[in-house]
Order: sequence, then C-alpha cells, then structure tokens
Amino acid sequence: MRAALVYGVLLVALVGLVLASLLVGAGDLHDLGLRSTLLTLRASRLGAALLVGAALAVAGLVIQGLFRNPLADTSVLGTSAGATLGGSAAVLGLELLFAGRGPRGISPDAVLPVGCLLGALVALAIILVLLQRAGDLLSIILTGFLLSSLFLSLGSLVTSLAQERWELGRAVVSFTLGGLSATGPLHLALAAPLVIAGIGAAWFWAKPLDLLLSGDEEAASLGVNVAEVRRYCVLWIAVLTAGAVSLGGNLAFVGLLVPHALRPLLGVEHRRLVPVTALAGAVFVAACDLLARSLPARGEIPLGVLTGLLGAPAFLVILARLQKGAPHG
Amino acid sequence: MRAVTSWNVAAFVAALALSTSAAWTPHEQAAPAATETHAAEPAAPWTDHAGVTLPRAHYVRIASASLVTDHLLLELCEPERIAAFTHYSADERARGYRFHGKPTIHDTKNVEAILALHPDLLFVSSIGDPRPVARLREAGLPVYDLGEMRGLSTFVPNIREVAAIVGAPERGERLVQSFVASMKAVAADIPRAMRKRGMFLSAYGGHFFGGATGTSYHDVLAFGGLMDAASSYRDWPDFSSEQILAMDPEVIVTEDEMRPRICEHAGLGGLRACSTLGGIVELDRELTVDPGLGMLEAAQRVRRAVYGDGAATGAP
Repeated sequence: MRAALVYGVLLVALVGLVLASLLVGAGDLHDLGLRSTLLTLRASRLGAALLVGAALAVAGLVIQGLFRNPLADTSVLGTSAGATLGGSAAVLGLELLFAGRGPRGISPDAVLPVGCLLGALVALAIILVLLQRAGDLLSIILTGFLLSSLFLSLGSLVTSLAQERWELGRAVVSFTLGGLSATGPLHLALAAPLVIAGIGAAWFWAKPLDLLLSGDEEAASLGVNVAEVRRYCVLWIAVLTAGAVSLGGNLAFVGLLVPHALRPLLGVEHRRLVPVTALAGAVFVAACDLLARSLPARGEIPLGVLTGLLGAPAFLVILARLQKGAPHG
Repeated sequence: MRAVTSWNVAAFVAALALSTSAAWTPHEQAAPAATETHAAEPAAPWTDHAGVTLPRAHYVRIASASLVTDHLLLELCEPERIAAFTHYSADERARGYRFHGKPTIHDTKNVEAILALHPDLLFVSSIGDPRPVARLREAGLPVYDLGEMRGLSTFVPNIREVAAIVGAPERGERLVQSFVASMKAVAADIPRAMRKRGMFLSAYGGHFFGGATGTSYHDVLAFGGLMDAASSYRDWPDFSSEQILAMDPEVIVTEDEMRPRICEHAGLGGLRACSTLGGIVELDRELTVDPGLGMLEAAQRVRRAVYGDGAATGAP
C-alpha cells in the first residue's frame, strides 16, 4: 500500500515534470518555425536529467548496501573523480591537440562524454585489479579514497592548464559544476546503454546485497560469494557513475539523498528499492534542472550547485529524523 | 558462478559497445543549408576554424557571440542586419552605448535563447565546450567559428573573414590597412634602443596573471612602444612573485585598481615599476581584455603613459 502510494506520487511528479520541462524555456513554443527544435532540445535535456538522476540514485543505493554504510556515496570509489578528470582532460585535449575539430571518427560533441567514460573506466580498472588482491571493505574504501584524491589533484592540474585560455578555463569549470544545457541525442545514446545496463544489474544483485546487510559471515553461510558480489557491484557502480557524469557532470547529493529518503518509507529490501530509487532520482534531478533554467538569473545556475543547495539541507533533515527515531543507548 | 560472471561481463561489454558506437557516429562537417543565395556569389562555401563549412549566402540576421565580432560588425555591417551582440560589449562603460538597442547573448550554452533571436548566422570565437555549437548547428543555425583570439595575428585574418561573410570585403580590407597602419604608428617614433621593458600583469586572490607572446596583451605592449619583459613566456601564464622579480620590468601594464595589489604584495614593493613614477600603467579592464579593435586604444594609452604624446594616432 505504501509502495503504491510512493510510486503514485513519483509518477504524478514525473508526468508534471515532463510537461513542465517541455513547456518551460527561453524559447517560445508559439513560434512555429522553432517549435520542433525547441521540443527536441528540451526532450534531450529532460532525458538526460532522468538518466543522470536514475543512475546516481541507484549507484548510491548499491554502494550503501555494499558498504553497509548509509553515508557511502559514489565518490567513495573514485569513479566520479575519474570520470570528471576524464571529461576535463577531454575538453582540454580537444582544444590543445585537435584544435577543436575532434579526433578522426569522433564528433567533437562526443569527446567530452567519451573522456568521462574513459576516466571512469581507468578508475574502475585500478579498483578491480586491487580487488583481486584484497577484496575487503577497508581496502576498497582506502583505494577509492586515494584514487579520488589522485584524480582530484590531476583535475586541478587540468583546470589550471585550461585557465591559461579564458574560454577554455570557463568550459572546464562549467563542466565540473555540472549541467545539462547542451545535451543532445548523441549524448543520450552514449549514456543510456550504461545507465540501463547498470540499473538492470543493480536489480539482479539485489538479493545478495540484502543478505550482505547482515554481515559477510552471515551472507557467506547463506551461500553468497561475497568477493564476487563486491567485484560486480563495484563494476556496475562505476558504470552508472560514468554514464551519469558523462551526461551531467558530477552532481552532489543525489546518490546520498534519494535512497535515504526512500528507506524509511519502503524498507531496506534492494529489489523493491532499485526501481523506485531510479524513479525518485530521475524526478529529483529533473526537478532541479527545471529549477535551474526557471530561476531568474543572468545565466543558468549550475545544476551541481542546485543539487548541493537542495540536497544538503534535505539530507540533514532526514538524518535528524533518523536519529530521532533511533533507540538511545 | 560461471554463469553469473558470463552474464555480468556480457552485459558490461554490450553496454560499453553500444555506448562507444554512439560516439563513433560519423561527424557531419557540413553546415545547414542557407537561405537566399546571391546569384553573383561563387558557390564554394567558407570553411571556419573548426573545419565546418558555411554556405555563401546573404545573411540578414547576424548574431555575435564573440567580443571580436561585436566591434567588427559595427564597422563592417549594416546595423539592421545585426541581430545581437554579446553582453560583454553591451555592458562596457565606455563603449557600451554603441551596442544599445540590440538583444544580447549572455552565454552560448543557452541554446534556446540564441535560437529565439532568429539569427541566420552566428559568429563565435573558439569556445572550449563544443556541445552548445553542435546543438545550434543541429537546430539549423549556421555557426562560423573564428578560432582563437590571439591579438593581431588572428585578428587581421578575422577581419577579412567577417568582411567577406557580410559581403563587404573591400570595407574589410580598408579596415585592415588602416588598423595595422594605426597600430604601427603608435610608437613608430620611439627608437628600439630607447624602449623600456614592460609586461602585462593582473592580480586576483594573491595570484598573478600575465599575457605573454601569442596574445593581444603582448601586441598592446609591443605596439605601445615597450619591449615585452615576459617574451620568453607564451599565452596567459600564472607568475610567481619570484618570476616577476626576476623579470623586474620598468613598466607594468595592468587593469584599473591593480597597483596596490601588485606593489603592496609581499616582496614586490621593490620592483622598479613600483618605485618609478608612471611605472604602473592602469588601463580600463574593458580595453585590456579586448583582443580586437580595442588593442589600438590600449596601445595608444600605454604609449602616452610611458613616453608622453608624440605619434599621430588616428582611429580607423
């Protein structure tokens, strides 16, 4: 009953957001010459928001289940930072190496998401190699932390190199702040397979993740291959992160806030949570994006800034409620 | 166990393959079809600095998303054919009035706002993120990328390109001749041996930023009669205090209100430029950042501040 209510609310919100996203924008839909172009642009942007939100929220859910830590986030594994570094390096490389024309066979338009994907895959490869040797949670967290620090440092280097050219510096900073304003069908085609496969895989691994919540030994005694679950969950978290960052940059709080908001309503069973988390994440990011382009401002407010501004207080409220409801002692 | 591994690996490879195949879609270099082609014009299209072709046509609603073309369009094009300028130019204190009465473009990322202006041509100067331009081209708007803005070496070809596209090549050539002649005349009377060593420097948040060889800043210094003390550097470097002390220029050209930030910075008070009257030349920021026609006025002001009046300095 409660699940049906949550789904109902989310679906109504989604329908409202779809309509609003298609109707709101700088252009005038009464302009018949531009109408189909504007709708295509807005539909691409909406599709991107839905994919990014779903990907980040589900990645957050899986990583929290995997680490049995409600504060775990996609940044823990270093793939967000890897994808962001890859995207920034791609923007820089496009100008410095290819003079804005793009490498042979790749549209310049696709260079940035491809860079994100490569960055996330490098981070993922390092994580997986290390997981073969030591698959315990502490090793994964430490490795992810080190990778994040390394990629953030390299990202700062890329940003400082880009600053030597005014517009290039603006482009890199703008990408790192996150946004969907220039998303097109090509980007959706690039990210959608990753996000859809990632969400499907999250649903597939839901049962073992449930069992892992009771501890490694308990799960192993119930027939779960803990190392295998970890390896593949890490793989799919990275895939989801790569898809999300390649579309919208690194958006804060989505993976942390959405699963948190849903657990008190729907419990902790992953198979139940995965689809509703994907839907709620999609709704949250689409709402933030709609707000980003509706607020009266000279330029568009970066999406990453908005998700942070809305996500942080909301997260604190949820945390306070959880602490209030928790037994003392 | 093996089945699980196979399933996951297969799903991962399939997702990756689908994703990367989307990226390898052949890049369409041709711009959209243009309107109302001149019968007298040859059919060969122009090719911009990003390698994209622009059909030869009589463009009647031209929008500028580049500082360079803002001013060039005023010089070369009939006012009624100009659809929009950048907000940078419209917001200028000294020269902004010239752009009033026209819509402004705030950000190329706002694709919808640009399309809503109904331009039939958009000029841009190389922007780092290619995505907005790709969206505009997909929407059927011809976009001409003028490439990087690096002072006279790129500005002169840009004048000719813009002039040809707006259908005023002779007007463009006259502008080139008069502009280059005016730039050369600014400090022509100052012998090389008499020229002082100077550099461009701005300071933000305790960091120092220069404009060296290959930039409009360098051209302003050189045509303004200075030897660029930072000529061994390229582009827009960050300088440490030590590097600035090592160069120790006689003149520092900077932006408004920068003198205290430079000369009161730890260790820099002893610079020759800081201890000499007239050693710090402060220009309007609007002039220093202009990589186009504003270079002439900036060079004239540098020359006047450092050496006093002398050469004839006629605006084009």
